[in-house]
Amino acid sequence: MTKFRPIRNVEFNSTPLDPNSLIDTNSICPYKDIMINKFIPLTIAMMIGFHPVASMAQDASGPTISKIIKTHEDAVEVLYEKMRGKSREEQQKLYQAEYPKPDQAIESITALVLANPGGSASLDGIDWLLRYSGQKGIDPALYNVLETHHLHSEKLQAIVLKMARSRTPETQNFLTTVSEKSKIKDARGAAILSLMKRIERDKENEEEHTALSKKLFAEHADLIINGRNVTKSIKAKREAEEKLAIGKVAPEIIGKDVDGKEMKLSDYRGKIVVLDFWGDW
Amino acid sequence: MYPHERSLVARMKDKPFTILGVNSDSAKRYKTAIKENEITWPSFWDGGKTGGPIATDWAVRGWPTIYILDTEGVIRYKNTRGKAMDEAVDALMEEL
Repeated sequence: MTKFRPIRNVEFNSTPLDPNSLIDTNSICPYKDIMINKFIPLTIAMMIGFHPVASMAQDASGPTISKIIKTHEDAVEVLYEKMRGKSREEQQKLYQAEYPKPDQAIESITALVLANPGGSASLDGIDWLLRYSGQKGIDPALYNVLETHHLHSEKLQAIVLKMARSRTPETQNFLTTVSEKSKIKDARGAAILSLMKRIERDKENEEEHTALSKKLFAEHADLIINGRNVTKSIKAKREAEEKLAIGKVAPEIIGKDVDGKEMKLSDYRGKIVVLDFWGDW
Repeated sequence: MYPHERSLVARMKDKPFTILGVNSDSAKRYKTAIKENEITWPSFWDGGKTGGPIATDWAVRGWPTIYILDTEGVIRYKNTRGKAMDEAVDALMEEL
């Protein structure tokens, strides 16, 4: 079995998404408005004699970051366009041969964000970096940028959701900080969620996981991510698992065999039962 | 999988024991499978797909998923396979 996910995006989605992205980040160039908003006051400031060197320097990185991101995303788009309609094998071959390496862009954007941590595209730069930096994570210094400049940003939820995959201690610390200190409620809830996912992945620290889920259920009963009530579905899953824990009486099964004859699990009381969910694949 | 289950069933012949399947194949596939693999134990048929109603109730996400229940219907083991499954069944048999 091949685990090759991007194909699905190519075939069923008109806008291909990064296969690693947890959420839809199709805002490739969201800076137009910011640029307009900043340039007009800037021009006015210059006219009335205020010397705007500092502000100019701060904004210079924004458009550069957006340009680098756009160049990369465009290259990906070109590749996906090429892959469209091809056979699965051909798609896979193309993807492996031609997927644009993000290394250079990662390096440049990291440098630009660090040089202008409060700049207009700083947060979008970090968002992009999180999508492409995989398990080894983003430059640790970027966490200081996030904490100092973006802790209360409306865009923080998308950022913290992407951190469930990174395993560095900096990520852990930052998520904890967000879960406790951010003024954005959605971001606090999402930070708890990401912390939980990290624990689930490493299959350790059950106590901490329990504490986190308690907090999530108590304080974020209505955490909506991509239009879905995440807390509610986690709760339902948890309840199902508890019902099926070792030591619990197995829930009754009333069903039919393949010929339509009725069967019940409780018909087998008095016997040791190996209940086997199987398929002949 | 099948040979091991067959030998377990053979070994537990005349004892209070059964394998009870929840099958997620199409009806046709299922019928072929029990014939080809000499499957003698009963199975619920879960609607011909992996997301069937029983598998959903039991939050099954991987196949095979195995629960071992004692004679009272209490869940005692989860996902024990191979040798561990034999040992688990033996241990429950000892309790009787």
